[in-house]
Order: sequence, then C-alpha cells, then structure tokens
Amino acid sequence: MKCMTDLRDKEQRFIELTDAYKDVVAKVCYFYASPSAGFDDLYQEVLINLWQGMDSFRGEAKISTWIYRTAINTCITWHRRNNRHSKGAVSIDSMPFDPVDASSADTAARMENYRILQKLISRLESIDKALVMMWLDEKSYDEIAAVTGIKAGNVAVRLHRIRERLARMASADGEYIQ
Amino acid sequence: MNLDELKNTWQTLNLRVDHLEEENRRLAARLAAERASGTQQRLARHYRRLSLVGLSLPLISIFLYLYGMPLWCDILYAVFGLCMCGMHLAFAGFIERGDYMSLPVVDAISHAIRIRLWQQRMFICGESAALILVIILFIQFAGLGSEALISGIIGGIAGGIIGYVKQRELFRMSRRLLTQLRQIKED
Repeated sequence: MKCMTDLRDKEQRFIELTDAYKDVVAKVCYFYASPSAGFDDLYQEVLINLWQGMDSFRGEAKISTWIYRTAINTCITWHRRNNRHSKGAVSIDSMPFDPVDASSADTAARMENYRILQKLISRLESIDKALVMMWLDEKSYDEIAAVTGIKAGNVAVRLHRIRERLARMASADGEYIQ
Repeated sequence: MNLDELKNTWQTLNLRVDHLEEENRRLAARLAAERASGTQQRLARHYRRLSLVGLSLPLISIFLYLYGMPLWCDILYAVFGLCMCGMHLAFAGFIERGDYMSLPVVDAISHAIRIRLWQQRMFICGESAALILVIILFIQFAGLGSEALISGIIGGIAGGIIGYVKQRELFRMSRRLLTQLRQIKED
C-alpha cells in the first residue's frame, strides 16, 4: 500500500537525519538536562518532535538550523510544562564525554573548568543557555539569530552581557579557571 | 574568568554519541508504529478526554430533569456541558496542528506561552461558569437537606483551592518566560 511505503520512506529518512545530526541534538539535550529532566527523556522528546515536523519542513531554513530550533524549543518547553526549573546540572561523572586524552595531566584541569562552566550555565535562563551553547559551538551571530529569532546585533549585545554575568557569578562563587 | 579557555574546554571534550544510533532506530520504529507520542500530543489527548466530561453533562441533565429539576436548569446544565466539550475539542485541535517546534526559539516560546495563557483563560471562564451553575444547582438541591449542601460546598472549596494552587505555579512560569521574551525584544 502506498501509505505503508511512505511510512517506510519517512522512517528511513528520519534515521538518516538523526544519525547525521545526533551530535547536535545530544549537545543541546546535554546542555538542558538537569537532575529532574534527564538526558534520555529530552533526547527522546526532541526526536519525537523532529519526526512530527519532518513532513512540514520545506527547506525554508538550513537543516541544521531546523534541528537546532526543534531541539532547543523542545528542551525549553519540556522544562516549562513539567514544572521543572533547570536548577542544578547533571553530575559531570554521568556525562557522556570521552576526554580527548585520558592520560593527559591537563584533562583533570579541563574537566574542572568544564564543571565550573556547567555549574554557572545551569543558572542561566533558558534562552541565554541557547545563546551560550551556540557560542561555545562557534556559530556565527547570523546563525544564532536564525535559530533564536533574535536579531544578530542583539545577539552580540546579549552574549556580552551573559559573559559579564557569568564572570560575576564565578567571582561570587570563588571559582577560578586552572 | 577566561571564557575563551572554557570554550576550548568544551570543544576538546568528545561527546559519546555512538550508542544514539541504536536509540534513533528504536524510536523510529516506535514512531512509525505510532507507539510513541510527545508532550504536545499528550496535552491534546488530555483535552480530548476532558471534552468527554463535558459531553456527559447533557446526559446527566436528563436524569436531573427526571429527578424533578426545573427544565431551564437542565437546559443550562446541558448547554454548559456542550460548550465545555466544544471548547476542549477545539483547543486539542489547535495544539495538535501547531508545529511551533520548528519556529525560531523566541517565536516558539511566544506560541507556547500563548497556549498556556489560553489554558488559563479557559480555566478561569470554565471555573466561573461552573461556579455559577453549581450555585444554581445547590439552590435547587437545598430542599434535600443541609448535609448535602454543606458537603457539596466543602468539596467545591477544596477542589477549587487545589486547582488554583496548581494553576498559579504553572502560570507564574509562563509569566517569567514572557518577561524574558519582552526583555529580548526591547534590546
């Protein structure tokens, strides 16, 4: 039947899409995961929304932009609907990371730096988290603007304020970078 | 604080993603078989179920009429139920149709908050209309004795308080996001 073939095609396209962009989705979910909204829950929810949005996606934006938007919107909406504030971050020990060089003496220092970053970012508002995450991934202001809907000029101003705020929070906590 | 060093830290960490391919396939199979649904669909289903509650009120009004309630009271009860049913079905359809997850983040949050605010308005209108209806019914039932009346009033107050507290927390979260969005737009 034609509808069964369409469904199989859609399933195949979905698998190709999610395999190709699993890094992007995983990073977003990791960024927004909290003790009360686990990575696995968020990842599944994002994939469900990607499945549902696939038929209506007409290529108006880049695929990566569409994926970023869907993933970020899902994570923000999940927290809001489930009445969960993203206070606190997932323990660094449970993070699905492989250090670049496990034997390197710098790895412990880098992981400590990352713990500090994670702790500070967990206190940011949802939209600010999205900005920081894409900035960490070295997305251009135009790309960040396309994903968030904030004008590129405002993105720069906002990121500047976020960086100042992170620095103030770090000072208040007595944290420093090794 | 050297954020550029932190950026380097982020970029040198390898996110373990190989196991996710298996998860993608597993979920794809479930989605194709329609055995998985997201929060949006669950919310829409919740409102479809609520519409059944509204649909039951016209049936209950028939019993009330046979019990001796005035006809105008029964009609009011039935109309209220039908309106509630229609409203919930329409809202469920609106939630299902909106593919706002693909919108830019700010627009998507705005849409989600509008849904939330409409939920609030529906709740307030529904509760107000229900309260008026319940008062009318209680006046009619007053002839049954004070115990039934008092029990009903206590139940109504308890349910109202619980519902109000829950709604207030969710509403507060929506307002917080709305404030954030306004600040972004003003920047």
